[in-house]
Amino acid sequence: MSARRLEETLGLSDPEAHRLLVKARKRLGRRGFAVRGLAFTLATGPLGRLLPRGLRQAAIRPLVYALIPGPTENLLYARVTKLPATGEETAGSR
Amino acid sequence: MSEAIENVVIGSGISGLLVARELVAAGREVTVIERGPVRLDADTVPHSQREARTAATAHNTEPAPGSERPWKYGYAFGGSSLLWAGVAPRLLPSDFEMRSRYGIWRDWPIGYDDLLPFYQAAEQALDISGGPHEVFPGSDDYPLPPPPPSSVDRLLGPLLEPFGPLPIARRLEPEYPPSIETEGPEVETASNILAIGRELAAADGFSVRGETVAARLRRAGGRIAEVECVAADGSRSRIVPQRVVAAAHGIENAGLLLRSDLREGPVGRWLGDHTHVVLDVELAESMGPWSAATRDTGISYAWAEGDWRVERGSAVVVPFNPGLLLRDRIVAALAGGRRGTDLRAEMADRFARTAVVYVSVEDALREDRFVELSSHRDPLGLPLTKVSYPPDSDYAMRGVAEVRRGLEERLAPLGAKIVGDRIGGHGGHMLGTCFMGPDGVVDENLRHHRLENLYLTGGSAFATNSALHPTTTIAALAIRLGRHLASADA
Repeated sequence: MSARRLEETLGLSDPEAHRLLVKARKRLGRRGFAVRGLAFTLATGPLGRLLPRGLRQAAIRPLVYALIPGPTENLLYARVTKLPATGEETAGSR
Repeated sequence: MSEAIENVVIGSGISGLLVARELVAAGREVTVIERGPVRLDADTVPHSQREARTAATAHNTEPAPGSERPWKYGYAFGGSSLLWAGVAPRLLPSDFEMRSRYGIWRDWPIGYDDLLPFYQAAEQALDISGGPHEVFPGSDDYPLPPPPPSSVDRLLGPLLEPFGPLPIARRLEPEYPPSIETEGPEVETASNILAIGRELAAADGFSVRGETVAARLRRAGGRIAEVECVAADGSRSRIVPQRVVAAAHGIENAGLLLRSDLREGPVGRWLGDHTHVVLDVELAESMGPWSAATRDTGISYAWAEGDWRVERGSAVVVPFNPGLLLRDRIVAALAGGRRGTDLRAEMADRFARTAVVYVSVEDALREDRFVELSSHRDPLGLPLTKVSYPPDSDYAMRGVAEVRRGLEERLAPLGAKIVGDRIGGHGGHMLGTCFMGPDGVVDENLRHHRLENLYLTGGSAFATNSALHPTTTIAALAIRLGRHLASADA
């Protein structure tokens, strides 16, 4: 699963995709992330159309849940919050 | 071998620690018995690490058939309070007078006015942030001011009057928009409880026995003569108490009495909890610039009070500050073939036009909800408690239906339509199994009707349910009991 693929699929900017991927990888571990990323890539690619809808959703869900585990990432995806500019990354994290 | 102890408090949650604090302040000796480990710094570790896994902390309930409900409680110093979300309203004055006002359920032997000074003391002890509200007489003295209302409070509040600040533990810093670098700006309400625990741990006259279960109370005539304890390693000990305060939650307190064969009165009967429903309310237009504190900050009492409580449950409505969680919608949209910037724009629009509200509804008092002993045993050899709790009642569901209807009506100027509903978290409140009153298990001072040195406090003493969260009332009852015991000693 590349940041580029995530940008195209979810409509994220490059820094957003990179940031969400890093956090999801950390949360899932290398293997867990790889398995979920592969399932996501297959289900959202051309072959995914061959899968029944329920199965497609089941393949997509684990990675989306890892990328958006709670309100913080949700607000980012909803465009309520933005990534901090370089050098301001810890502002507000009290 | 037996050891004589002046005051034995069973359970180290909010109730146990606040009773102990009052007694220790009066110069009395208190020993707290706690199933879980004693970690005075538990507020610095993740929730998953707060309970050690030992024979003492094996959860000891089993559901009766048809009663699968995820009861949430914790075995650790600080008790289930370590899992507390910090929501801290009082009960409504009418919650104490359901029989005399509406002819249903029962009256408490004490009223709101009796409890008022103890509510105020509890709010001080728990460091509650709140503001005055007409629904609650004497609510103008919170130790901390309310957090600023969120954008969704400001939008919905005027249409959901009476509406006001939601009392909540600790000052809420307006941390949104949060930094993506953090795992979420969590407000750690366990710190409020553990601060009391740390203060007690340093005080003369206080001690705690961790990883120890109060297995049984042994009676001799009209008194508790002995507390039989089992430690996590299986070793047994006996305490000869001058006084025993059972301060665990509603299932645990009832289980202790049943294990001890102290069955006088309706022990274990009338187990209560709330019904929680989450509603997604789609609005015609965007809610505008979004801002909020870290936790929910507003509450509506529009469906809380009225003669209609004879037939349907009272309800409170809390706008959910974090807003609509989009991930299930993203999954469905991706599976449906949507991608890229169009998908994200659609989700951002949905977020901006959807208010999420949390509805907490009073449930009926029901005879078929109760705690009894199981034939199965826990790892220490003690009988499990079996919990019968058939699903939510028509009384509560009629309350929910009225909120649904009324919400769309009141929010009509915003073009509101309810587009989703789901069950919220259940099982966090275990109330009423040893209720206070002349036909209950304890009297107005929380003393057992037949055993002169046994007191029961916590949610188990509640005589009725409410739509409102019980923690502040549990704390107020504990402080009231602690002061009563201290003065009786004097």
